[in-house]
Amino acid sequence: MKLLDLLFERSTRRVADTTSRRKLLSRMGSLMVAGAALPLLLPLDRTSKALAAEPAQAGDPGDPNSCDYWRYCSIDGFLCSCCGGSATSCPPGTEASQVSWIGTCRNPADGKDYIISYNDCCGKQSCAQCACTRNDSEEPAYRPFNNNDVNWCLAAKSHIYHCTVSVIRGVAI
Amino acid sequence: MRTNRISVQSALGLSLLVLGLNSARADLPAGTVGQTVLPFPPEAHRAFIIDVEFDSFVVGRVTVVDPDQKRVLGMVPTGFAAPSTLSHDRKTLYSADIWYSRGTRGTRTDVLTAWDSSTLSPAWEVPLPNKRAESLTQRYSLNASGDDKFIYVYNFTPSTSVTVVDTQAKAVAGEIAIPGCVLNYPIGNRRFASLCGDGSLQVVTLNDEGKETARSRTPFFDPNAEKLVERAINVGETYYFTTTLGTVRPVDFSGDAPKILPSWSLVSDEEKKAGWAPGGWQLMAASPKLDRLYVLMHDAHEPMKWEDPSTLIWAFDLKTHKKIATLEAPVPVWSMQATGDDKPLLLGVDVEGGLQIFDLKTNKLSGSMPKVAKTATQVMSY
Repeated sequence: MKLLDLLFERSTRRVADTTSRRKLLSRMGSLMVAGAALPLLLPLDRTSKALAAEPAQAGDPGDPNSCDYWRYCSIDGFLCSCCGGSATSCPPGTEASQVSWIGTCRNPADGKDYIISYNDCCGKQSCAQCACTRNDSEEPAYRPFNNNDVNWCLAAKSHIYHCTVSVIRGVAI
Repeated sequence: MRTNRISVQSALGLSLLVLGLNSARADLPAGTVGQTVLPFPPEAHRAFIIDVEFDSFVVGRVTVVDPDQKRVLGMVPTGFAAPSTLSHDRKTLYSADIWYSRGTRGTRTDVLTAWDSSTLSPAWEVPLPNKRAESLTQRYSLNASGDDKFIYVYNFTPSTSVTVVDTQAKAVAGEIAIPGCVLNYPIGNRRFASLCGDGSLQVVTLNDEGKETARSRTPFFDPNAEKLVERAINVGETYYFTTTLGTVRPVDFSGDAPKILPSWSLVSDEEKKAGWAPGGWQLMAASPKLDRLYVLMHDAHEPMKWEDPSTLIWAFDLKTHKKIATLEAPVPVWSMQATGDDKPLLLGVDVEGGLQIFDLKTNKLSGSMPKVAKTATQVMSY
């Protein structure tokens, strides 16, 4: 597979909003200054609950198997929905990492900006299906929790990366 | 019958012909299996392509090539998402590997492997704390001190620290916490800098035992006003950073404290209006002999394009800050490296796994090595 396809598969739609994203990222930056260990305490450890199968809902438009899906606005990796899992569920036999990076994506159905955690599913080699890189709200490495070049299998038993899920954590203020 | 006779005659003739040829040549001698060793010192343009093999992403490789001859010279197998670096004495290639005992699972082992640059075999290794940063490899995650005594390994758990390895004792000298900061930008023999989330530069000074003796913070940029790409390039002890919109922020680390040099722009006002901006992975390269900076540039910039590849490379004079040339690659390039000699090449890994090779005396493409890699993240050279 060409790297172009592998790493630069892109959405044709841009749904993230810059202004509110900035506010959120500023707050994240302030947290980072206090110390690199502090963001571990961020409320990103609810993955196992969030990964319970989520039924299709009105107000959540789009195809989770497509890189265009609104929740994928800051993803960089393989879509778990193409790998035997779903947009929010890890494929069989892989382990969700409880620590993740986050982005902010605008839901076109209600116009609200949502905080999305991009949890990596780990313990098997790359799924290599549905590569998707959008980087809409990505920040450089000095803001690691907004950086998707990091392997976020950090809290799984095996850190080998398989695919990524996209879980709503709340509405961005 | 007639057909058969012709066939027999033809076969006879052919046999005689073959016999005649055989008798004119001696048999080739029986052979033995050889073992290739690369010459030392290495040729000036020898290059090392770091390939994370993202479509499997369990093991990677460093492919060693001669860009003048467009030949593969050999390969170094590395662990999961392993950063690599070259010693200044050109004798060693280091990789900071992660291995699992069952391939994708089991017991994790982090290890610094020192590869002989001529045999491309492991010369020695040092087990590391299981903390090595895991990301697409980048230039400032593994580095050698100026005198090659220490190797600095960047750790991310996501707490950040640097493991210092003593290459003479072949042992870990210690671990230095760099909370709120990332990466290690080597300075001279006993210092490294890190880029911090509050927009400052942190410099840690070591003693000959690899222990910290001093630490300083210098305000550098406003992270709430701009995004600074962490993948800088250095000429000696001056590092050149760029923002995602093309403001170059140079820092001179040669003195006791970092000196922030005046910023300048890669783009004119008109170019900025047209959306010209830098993008890529190792998006900048520098030729110290020509005193030039090379930057991957694209137009119609949007924030999410800050890591995008491009076919266009702009060349700048580092003294005048003027754009002096545009180099064009046939395939979009993602990461670059310029060789340090006085007839430099610009080496760019492209998104199809090829290496694009430019002669920097003429700024012309001198050739390509297609499909030499799978997912190349960096090129290294001397």
